[in-house]
Amino acid sequence: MAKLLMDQLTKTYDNKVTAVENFNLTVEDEEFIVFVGPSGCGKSTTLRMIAGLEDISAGTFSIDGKRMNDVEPKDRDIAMVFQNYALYPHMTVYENMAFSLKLKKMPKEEIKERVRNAAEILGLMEYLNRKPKALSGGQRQRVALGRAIVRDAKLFLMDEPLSNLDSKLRVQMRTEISKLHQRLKTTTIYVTHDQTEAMTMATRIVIMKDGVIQQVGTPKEVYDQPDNIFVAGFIGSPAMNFFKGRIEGDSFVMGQTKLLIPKSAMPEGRDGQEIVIGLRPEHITHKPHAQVDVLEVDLDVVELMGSEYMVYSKIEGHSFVGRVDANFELAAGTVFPMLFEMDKARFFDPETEVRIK
Amino acid sequence: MKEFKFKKGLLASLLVTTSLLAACGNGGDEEGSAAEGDKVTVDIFQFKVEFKEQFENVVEMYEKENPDVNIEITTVGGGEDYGAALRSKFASGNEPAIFNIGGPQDVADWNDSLAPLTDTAAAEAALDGTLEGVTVDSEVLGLPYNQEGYGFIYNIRLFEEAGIDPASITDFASLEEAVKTLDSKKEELEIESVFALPGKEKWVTGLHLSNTFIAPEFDHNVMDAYDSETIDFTYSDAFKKILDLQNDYSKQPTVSLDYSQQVEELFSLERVAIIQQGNWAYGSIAGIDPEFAENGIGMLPIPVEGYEEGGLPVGVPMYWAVNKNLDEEVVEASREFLDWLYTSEAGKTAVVEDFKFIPAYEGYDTSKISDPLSKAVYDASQAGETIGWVFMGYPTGWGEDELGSSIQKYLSEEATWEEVIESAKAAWESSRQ
Amino acid sequence: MRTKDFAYWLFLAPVLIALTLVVVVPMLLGVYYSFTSWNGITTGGFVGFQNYIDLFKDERFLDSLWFTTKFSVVSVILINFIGLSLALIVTSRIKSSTLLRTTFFMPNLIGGLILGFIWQFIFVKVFASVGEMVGMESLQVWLATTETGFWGLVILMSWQMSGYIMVIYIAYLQGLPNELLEASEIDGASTFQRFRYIIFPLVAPAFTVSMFLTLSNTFKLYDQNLSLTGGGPYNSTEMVAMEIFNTAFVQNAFAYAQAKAIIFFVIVAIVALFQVYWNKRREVEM
Repeated sequence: MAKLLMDQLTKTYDNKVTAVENFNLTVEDEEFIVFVGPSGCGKSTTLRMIAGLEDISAGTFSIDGKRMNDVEPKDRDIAMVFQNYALYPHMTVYENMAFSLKLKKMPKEEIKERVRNAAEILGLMEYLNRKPKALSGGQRQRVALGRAIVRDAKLFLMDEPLSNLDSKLRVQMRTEISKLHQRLKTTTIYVTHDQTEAMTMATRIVIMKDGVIQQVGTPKEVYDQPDNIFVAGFIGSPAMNFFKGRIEGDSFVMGQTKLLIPKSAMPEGRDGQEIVIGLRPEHITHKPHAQVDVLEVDLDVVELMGSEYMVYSKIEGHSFVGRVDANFELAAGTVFPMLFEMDKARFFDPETEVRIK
Repeated sequence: MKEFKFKKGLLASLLVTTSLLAACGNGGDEEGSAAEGDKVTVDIFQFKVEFKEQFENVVEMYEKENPDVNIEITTVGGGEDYGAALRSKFASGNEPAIFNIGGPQDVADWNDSLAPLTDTAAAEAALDGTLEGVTVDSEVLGLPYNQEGYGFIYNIRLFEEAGIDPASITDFASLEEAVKTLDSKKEELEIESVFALPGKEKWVTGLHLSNTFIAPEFDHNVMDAYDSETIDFTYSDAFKKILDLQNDYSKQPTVSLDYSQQVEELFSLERVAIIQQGNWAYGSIAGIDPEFAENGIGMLPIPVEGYEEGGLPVGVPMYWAVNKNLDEEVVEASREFLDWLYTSEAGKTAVVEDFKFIPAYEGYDTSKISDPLSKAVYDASQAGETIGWVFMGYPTGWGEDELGSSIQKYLSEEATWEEVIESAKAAWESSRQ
Repeated sequence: MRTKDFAYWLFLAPVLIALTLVVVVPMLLGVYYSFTSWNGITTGGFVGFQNYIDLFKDERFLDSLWFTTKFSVVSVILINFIGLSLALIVTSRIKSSTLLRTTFFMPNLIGGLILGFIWQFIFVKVFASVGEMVGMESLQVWLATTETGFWGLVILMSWQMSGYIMVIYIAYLQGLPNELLEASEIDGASTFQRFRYIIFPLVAPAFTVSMFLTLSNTFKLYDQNLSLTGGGPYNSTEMVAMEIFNTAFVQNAFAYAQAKAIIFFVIVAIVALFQVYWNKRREVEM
């Protein structure tokens, strides 16, 4: 089990392109950390620096207080699961899982026991003698996990392990990985571009953009208290709606539209200033008896999701998505009263894009 | 629509195939028609690369004089390659009118194709003994190219500086004496060694050197050698002595020493004093140092101890043959051309002055023979102090592949001289069975 | 599935005809001639299996066959070893690897004959000069003995072919997924272990191809043999191809040479097929 410290971690290629800049993070033992962000944000590069597959250009990375910058990957006591599984095609499932143990010169019996344990956990017992080619995608992913598990390593690294699976299998493997983590309690760093995976699996999420950390926090924190417009927009699906306007007295004004902001939610000292407000879809809804902040809008698209509708519309040129309980018929093209729950709104500075608290 | 496309494709492929076949056919037709013109076409398939250009010029001259004759020359160089090429030329059905043969074995092999040349003027003019190898039942089947001879080519300056008079070298003893003198003065003379023995060139040892000691046994008659079922090696001791002398005083290792090292690198640059080579080496030496080639070299005989110690081996390296299977007019034109080449005034001049041949025919102005090696060969031939060339009468491949290889073994100390002689004898007998 | 109709055969015809004309017919003719006493000019009589009986008693032929076999074994091992090593070097992260690749490949662009003469110069002249300078007798007799002739040929062949084989290995090495190598690195494999357990088994198909190429090339070697040693000294470095050529074109024993060529063909075919079969079994599909 391990405690990680990343201090000012930086990666530059050929002294020109900066992939990761001043990455600071402390990971406690048993944590399941998810790095999330759009492609090219530096999350994989960071992971590879942790693994030792990339040199660290500047800064320090340590495990349990021991500096790891110049330690070979094989000596870092880490296990890694790759996006394309990276199974050795010429070895059977058993041999794939036993490979690292064999290199450590572990006694045969112990190898056998460990591999069997892992296979049991992952439901791979019947496939031990197969070659990877004869396995389905999900099974291959399990073998890749198994290969990591048998190592009994201090740290698990997973680089988009589910992105090659179909959506149903992805959901299933997601829970399996979570269960595995609860069972083994190994410190894990998981890289994904899928915010759903991040939200469902992580104990803490690290959101990155352009090589810089945007926010670190629990799924709830980053969802409810996003530090900036990027995080707010990235986490949550459908994404948060943003409206640009101005504070005038107790109201938020954009164009001809005026929305009243409750006193408790009103940001201080912003009267008369430009501002961006963010409202999640669940906070643009319909309530039968609502009086305040209700706007009649034209519904452009209505999607029935089963228990609720996602409705797409526009006010003052801003498109937005709202969410309405599906206890009555609703169709596109109608005019419909939507409630903007301004007490749930988040306020952002239009210049810095930082949230105003 | 699809159907249509398919048919179009089929048509196209058919067209391609037929046009290809037609092209092949056409090629044949064209060649045929060219031969049928008013002119007589004489195809010459010859091997001497060295005089290709001069030969072509002379042929051009002949064509001008005889507008109804068209001569096409193909030159394929080097002994072995020529034999193979000639065989394929015949096998292709495109037989040449004039080609080259080497000796009795070739005469036997090509017997079905050789037209008699007995009553040609050239055959008439050929020097005594030059037609032996190509005469079957008193019918002459080939005309000599030229004469060539070999011996020990020496460096005049080095001999002078060492105080040796070449004229005094008349037998093996005096040769050995001279070699020892040269060897003792290596430092002052600035030479690496006395000899350069090219053991790698099996024709130098297995054909030329051996010929010197085998020819006496067969009375200098190539046909005697060709007809003999056994070989005695009467002069094998003398043979060994000369070989040992060359080897002991040569730059080592002799087994990997080749012609270009021997002639160009070592002799022409005056790093050795004597080499065993023939008049053809003149060109190679002149290529490095014309001045040296012109005035600095001479040729000594290879002494056969206990026999003739002053004879220079002189012979005919190659013969012209005429293909009798072609049209009569082509055969006739071929004969006429060869006669012209060797007996007309223009031809004679070309042979000596352009080709730089040592003529194998009478009636030449030999004062035009300019290079010292050819002169030595010619003089020896005039004086009758020659040893015949019988190696054309060796069993096929025997000289180089058997004897030459065995000599390499001997030079590498992998075999004794007795073993060399015994295996050569056995090989001779087994191939004459 | 359509039946093989007229059009099918029509489209196949050009290939079939070409193949028949240039491969099948000469092959059959060759077999036929090997039973005669053909001397290159006249076919001569039919001699049955006499040529085949003779050649198994022909020491020179058997010697050359043995020499060729030794040469092939040593060369195949060396060429593949060097080729793979070079490929590993130029695919690693060193600078100027493109330049190195080109350089290593270059010898392959020089014709065998020329190469033979170049190396002859090196062995005979350069080695001798160096030998003289450092006083090493053994460097002064290159190509003059059977052993130096043998190693001279091996060196020449390795020098020429390694670059070519390297290219094949490079193709396969670059086809290896990087993730596999990284996975093994994390699994704790040292550089050697990674090579032994991961790279080596995965480039097995390259072995099949390279072994086939080197084997058939070394077995059929002619021009380098001719220009470097010419079979000398005393025909002891004469390989089969050259021996056959000499039998045919020097001794004019065409039918006999043809019989040798057929035996040689059978041997090369068996060795090559066996090699491919054996190697194929070890291959892995990615």
